[in-house]
Amino acid sequence: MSERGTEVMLEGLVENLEPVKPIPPLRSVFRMLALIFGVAALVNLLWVGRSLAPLSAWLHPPFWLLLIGLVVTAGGSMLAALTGAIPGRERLARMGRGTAWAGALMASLGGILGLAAADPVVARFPLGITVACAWRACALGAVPAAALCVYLARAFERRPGVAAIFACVGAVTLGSGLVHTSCPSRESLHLLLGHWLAPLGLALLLALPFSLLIRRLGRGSRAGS
Amino acid sequence: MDDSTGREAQEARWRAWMIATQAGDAAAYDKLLAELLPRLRQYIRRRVFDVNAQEDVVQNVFLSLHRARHTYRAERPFSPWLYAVARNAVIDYTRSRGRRLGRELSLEADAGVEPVAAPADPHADDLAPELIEALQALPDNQREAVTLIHLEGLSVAEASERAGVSKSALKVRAHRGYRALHALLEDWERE
Repeated sequence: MSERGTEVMLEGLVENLEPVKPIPPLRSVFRMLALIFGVAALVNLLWVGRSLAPLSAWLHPPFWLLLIGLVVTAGGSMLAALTGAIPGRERLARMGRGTAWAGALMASLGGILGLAAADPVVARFPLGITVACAWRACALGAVPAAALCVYLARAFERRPGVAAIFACVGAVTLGSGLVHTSCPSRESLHLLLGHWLAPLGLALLLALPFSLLIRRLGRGSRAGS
Repeated sequence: MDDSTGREAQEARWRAWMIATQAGDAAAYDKLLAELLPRLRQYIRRRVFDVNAQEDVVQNVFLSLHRARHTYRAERPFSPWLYAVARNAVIDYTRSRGRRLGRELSLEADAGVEPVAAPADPHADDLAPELIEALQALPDNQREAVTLIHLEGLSVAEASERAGVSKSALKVRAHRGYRALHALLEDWERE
């Protein structure tokens, strides 16, 4: 293409310029997410009643390690998803990805250490409650993940698939954090599978439709610009 | 007016024009694009060595800038945003070129045809062809660091802002890139 071609293209861009509304600042997006998760916590309360994980679980360090891992993974993933869609915020996006990986490592370590420390009776595998916890984490994370994806579509996301993965993993693992604090079971295999690995798998599945949503909404919102 | 005052004035001007652009002011947009065009051409020519592709990449940068103009926020500096858009366009070009070359090379291998070398960059007249080739052989992040510091002469602070990494990370990349360049050029000289 010639330099003249570029100049003609720029004239076209100027002629077709339309006003745009800047995307909201990250601070207000995080405030909105906190509000949504507040509502999710209330829903969780109504769902399972006012229950907390048993005291013996709270006294167990791997339980804490898994909980902190879930929260760190959630925070890092959501930060990576949000900042990855805004030019010039790559440093924060990289930090978010690193934090998410560190959180995932902590959560896995918590689960594995719990399993290693468990006595054989506690290490049995209750399938029903595991499926229920994973499903609950996914349901609690679905609305915040959708809100994140709407924001990503409105911003300038170049890799919708990756962004959807981070958004869904972030939202679902935070949902799983809520589940973790309110689940009556302290069986190690259940904690590893029902609170970490299964929700992670469901988050990856959820990312498929959400990446399509980002693509579709992104095309629509940028068509006029 | 010294360099830093000039840059600050330019930054303030671009920022004001960008805010006016977001509000739909075509005159401000026209001025902004006119000032950005030579800068972005220079930026692209330092990174894209295939002369036939340079103007395409310049156009892609402006299209991305147009589509992403709503992602600029007035409280943030303009230049890091602008160069992130440009950098992303270069990355997209490098990826698509890599995929295309992979396909073309496999076809050429099948047909027994010699691949055609890309023409040298006429705007990189000040660089020896060996240096251009060695730069192309570097990983993207090292090439960017070496180009920003050693070829464009930016300070570490400016270069790290433009590359979107911390100062220490940029220094490490530049150092590794410089060492790799040195080793490559020495190897070629021996051959």
